Amino acid sequence: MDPMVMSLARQAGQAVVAAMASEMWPIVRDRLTRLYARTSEGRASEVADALEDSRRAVLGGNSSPDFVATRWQGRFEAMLEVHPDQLEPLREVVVGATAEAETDPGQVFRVGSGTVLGHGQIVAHNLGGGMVWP
Amino acid sequence: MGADETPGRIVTFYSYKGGTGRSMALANMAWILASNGHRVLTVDWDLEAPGLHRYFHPFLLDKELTSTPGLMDMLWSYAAGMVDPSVDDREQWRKKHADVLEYAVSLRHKFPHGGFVDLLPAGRQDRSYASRAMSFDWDNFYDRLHGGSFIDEMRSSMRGHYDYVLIDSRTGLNDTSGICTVQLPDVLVICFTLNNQSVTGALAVADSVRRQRGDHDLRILPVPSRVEDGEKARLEAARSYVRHGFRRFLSVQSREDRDRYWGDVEIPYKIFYAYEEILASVGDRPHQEGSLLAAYERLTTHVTDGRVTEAEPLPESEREALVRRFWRRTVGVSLYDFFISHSDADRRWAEWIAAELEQAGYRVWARSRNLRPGARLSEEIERVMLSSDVTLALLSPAALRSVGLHREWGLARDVDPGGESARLIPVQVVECRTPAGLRDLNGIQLAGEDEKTARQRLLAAIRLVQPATGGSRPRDAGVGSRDFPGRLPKIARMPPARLPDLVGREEEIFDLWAGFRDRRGGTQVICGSAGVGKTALAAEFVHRFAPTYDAVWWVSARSRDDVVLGVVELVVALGGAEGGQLTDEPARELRYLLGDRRCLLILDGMEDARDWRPVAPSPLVDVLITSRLQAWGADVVRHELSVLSEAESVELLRRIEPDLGDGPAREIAGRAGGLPLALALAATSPAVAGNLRGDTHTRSSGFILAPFWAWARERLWTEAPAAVELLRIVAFFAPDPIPVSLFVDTPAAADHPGLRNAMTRDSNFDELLATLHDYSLVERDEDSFRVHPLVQEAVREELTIIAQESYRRQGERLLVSARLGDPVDVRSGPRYRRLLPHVVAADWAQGRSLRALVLLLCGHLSAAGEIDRARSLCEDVVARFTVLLGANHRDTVAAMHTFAAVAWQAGDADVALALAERVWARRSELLGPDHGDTLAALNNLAVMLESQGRREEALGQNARVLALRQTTLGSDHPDTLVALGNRATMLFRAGRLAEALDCERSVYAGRYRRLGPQHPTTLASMENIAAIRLEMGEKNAAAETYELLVARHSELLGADHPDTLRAMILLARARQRLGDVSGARRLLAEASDRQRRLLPEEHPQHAAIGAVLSEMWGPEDDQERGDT
Repeated sequence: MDPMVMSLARQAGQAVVAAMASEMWPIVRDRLTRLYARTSEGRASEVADALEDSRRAVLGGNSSPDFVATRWQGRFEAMLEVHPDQLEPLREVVVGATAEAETDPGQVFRVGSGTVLGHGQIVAHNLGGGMVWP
Repeated sequence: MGADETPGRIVTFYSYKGGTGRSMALANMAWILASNGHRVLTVDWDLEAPGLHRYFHPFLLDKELTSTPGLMDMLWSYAAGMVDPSVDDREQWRKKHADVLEYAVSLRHKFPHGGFVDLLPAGRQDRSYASRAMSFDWDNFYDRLHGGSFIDEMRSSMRGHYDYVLIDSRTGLNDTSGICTVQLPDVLVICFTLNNQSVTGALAVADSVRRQRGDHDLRILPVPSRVEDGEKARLEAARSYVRHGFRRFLSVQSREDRDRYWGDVEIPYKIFYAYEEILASVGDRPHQEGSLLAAYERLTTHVTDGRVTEAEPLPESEREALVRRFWRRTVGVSLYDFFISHSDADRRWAEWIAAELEQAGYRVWARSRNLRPGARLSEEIERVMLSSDVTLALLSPAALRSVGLHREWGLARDVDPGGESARLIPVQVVECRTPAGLRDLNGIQLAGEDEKTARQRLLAAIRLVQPATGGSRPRDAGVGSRDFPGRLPKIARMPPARLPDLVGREEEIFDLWAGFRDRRGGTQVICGSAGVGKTALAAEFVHRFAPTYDAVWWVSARSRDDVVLGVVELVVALGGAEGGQLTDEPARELRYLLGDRRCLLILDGMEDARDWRPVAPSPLVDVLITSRLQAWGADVVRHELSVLSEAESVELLRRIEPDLGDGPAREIAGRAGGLPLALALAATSPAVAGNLRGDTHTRSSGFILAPFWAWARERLWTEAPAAVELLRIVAFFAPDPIPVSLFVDTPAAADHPGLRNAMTRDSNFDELLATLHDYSLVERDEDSFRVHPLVQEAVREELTIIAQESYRRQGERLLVSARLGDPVDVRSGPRYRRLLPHVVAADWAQGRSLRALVLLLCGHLSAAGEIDRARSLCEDVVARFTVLLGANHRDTVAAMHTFAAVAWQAGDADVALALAERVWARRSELLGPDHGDTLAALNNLAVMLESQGRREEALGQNARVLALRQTTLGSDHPDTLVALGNRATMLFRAGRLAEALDCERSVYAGRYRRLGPQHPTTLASMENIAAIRLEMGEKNAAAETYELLVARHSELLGADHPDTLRAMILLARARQRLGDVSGARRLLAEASDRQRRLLPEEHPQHAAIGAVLSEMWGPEDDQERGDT
């Protein structure tokens, strides 16, 4: 497979997960849904549901963000293999997700309940202060 | 001088063998005593080989004692008188004859406090002396002439007139040594070197003296002399043998006193004194540890029972004058006036200087001509150097790198450590930096001068230190080369200008020189970005080394035509191209014309690596190229020139503008990024300096490298347009290393398809960087690259405002999509750290993604223990967000939230609490009381309240957070676990241990499942459980858990990480509770000591763990703690 396709799919998978905890989520979700709709009419709602399922799993702490990102990377790769013309539109979604929104900058590990900005919490030690978990 | 109330003390200096420095020790002690106001007599009783007077020659009128009578004359006169029948009252007569004052001569030196030194010489040193000394019949003297009584008479005469009488005894075992060692002394100083024979002999004599004199009225002081540092093991063995052998002779008894004695009296070996008889009290500066003078002073202390401990120092001017008087005598005996110490590279200089000096009537030794075949180099050089008056050290870049020469200079330095007698003179023959060891000596500068000036300068300087002896006629003029080595070759086209202010680059100049030395006729290229000083370096090289060539030709070589024309001109200069006929093959012609003459061809500023090949002349021509290009063939030696260090930059600025203050100089140096061109411009043009200092915002300093960038861009445009794109993006980054991963991880972020393509594969991107490096636009490391700040400015400046915006956005996109990883995970540390400068350089207040990123970096810094940096970055962020977004903006509040947590961690509880309260209130308003962010604020607020002692309030707020999270997120969610864990801590501190344990166990289980056993928060929970169980009395379990924690932390974070240290301290506490007091103390001492050493003073952990520490040490241990 074209390395360009692979790397874009990987980045898109991460962008999806990163957007989950942010206010950009509806926009990213809708853009992806539209993108899939262009490739086949019937897939759109299916994709929208899958995206929501993934988000619930990640935010509820039931699925590892890394794992979810990899699954979406696979879906994007498969889609681009059939529809190479969607390469540029997908890239635009990724760029939009990272540039305009309050996304978690490249972080797929976070599973907190708040937004990315300023959710750091103090974890107290019984003896000797505590730590800040960003 | 009359007899004093207390009789003087007689001290004999004896050695079994010669060469122990016995007379030297005696002479110095005499000086030390006299300088303290004592009346001192020195007696040269080494009748067969008298020499004590040599140490005093500057103070004697009859320096060689050829007409001064002495001891031998005294003895003969007595013997003659005793057999003279006309003498009747022999007792009276003997008394009169034994008066030492009759024969003693005083040294001509005014000692302080009325002290003086008299010398009773061995006898008149005329031709008959030896026979008189040999034929004196000691048996007769004792048996028939009552010699014993005469000696006794002498003894009381000495003791009556002097405070101290120092006798230099004969070596070996014989009559005269018997008198000196047994009959005369109150104190016997036995000098010996640390070899078997010398020590055994000394022991035998000590034994015999003790037997004859009895135990009480004679003190024996064994003195190891001429002790050389060297083989430590053998030296120590010899010392312990000596200490053991002599222990019964020492009057001091305690072990400490004995050790002190041996430590005191050892006389070191100093080469300076090995070849000349000069007093250490004159040659050494006073109060110098390890000097001979200091050793003699210690010995004097022992001889005088502490009455005299040091010499009264001579005034420095007087001391210098005396040193010269001591040396003057040696001029007559040295073999050479000058020893020339030089490297092979400076052979012509050595020969020229030698010839000039010989012409002027000096005797000169230079290795290049005088070394005897078959002589061992090092020994020969040492021998010659010590028999020469002055060493001339020829300095050049090559000489500086010669280990052998440094050794020679060291030896010369050793002979004249203070430089008083000008025994070592540096002579700079090729420009270079004077080595540190010679910098304090005034040198002679010959480099860069014409023949006449050089000769005048050399001879004028030489005459100041050494009058010509005229002892040697000039050698045959044909010996060696008389050509002046500093003369420029006849065929020379020198570089247009030589910068007077070239700074640094000594290494590079040497490397170039060595490159041509190792490969005659090789090609070397100096490459680097514009303005880095390539041409200046080449010009400097040419100026320094042109005299070593037969022809030097500088060609400005932008195009191939320039190169060809330059070579043709050289051909013409060499006398080729007769009749104006230019040849088609200048290289061949050049080869033919040069013959075996050495030629240096400089091609300055080449822009195409292929241009020089067709004219590559001959293996006999050294070719030096300067170029911005980095890619050259394998047969070309490349020297990549880097920018100057800050110190060098400041030095360069100062050289041009001496009045520049330290602050501005450093600031300009920083902005110019060590680029000599920018520095020189800044120093000469106030406008540029203003720009570089950032005084004006109207113009930047991008114009400095603008032509360079235009030139490179032109070429890259066709060769690799993606490279131009890349450079434009990173022009907005910080001038720090940029990780390559930033690009290859996230290709989608770039707009340019070519660049995107290059970013999808590591190898493609690598190729792109290689291209930029070829044009000296980037510097590369293994997995990062960096761009010079002035290149960045040139690139930025050429873009329109809209284009700037576009590239800046792409860069920001790259930054926010960078894969960073968990900020508390130590493994992601390096990635955060490398991103930090670029995020700080970006416009991070613009755009939510960047704002999130910059706050994440604050959090990372604080988690990594860099509390101070975290705090100051947080402060900046809050300030800028407030200005830009307003105080009530969500993101400003978010920044305050992070700031509060960091301030709390830094131990600033008041600031933290006030901020946290504000954040909670604002978030409640903005987002609602149940929002995740509001709860995060409340969680932190609760912890802060608890740590301020507001326990009930804290528990209440915590309960609220916990309840809401349990219902909205579930009880296993990490956020819920944070609140539950904090509840456990509050309960623990309230003494509700069972409840605390219950909570903390759920937290631990949940984190173990969700985050894994190694996650920092999982480990924190584990630590809390151990603390609870220890309080509950489960000491063993707690200790085991702490042990495990120490192991995990050391493995994950390293043995010196704050967390590891804290775990160690807690482990020590558990062990103490278990009753293992000593083990606990040891561990605690180690851990708290490391914590003190490794964590900065203001690190919050000191305070946080302080209570635990004071609990453990306890008040009664304060003393002990203070001592550790």
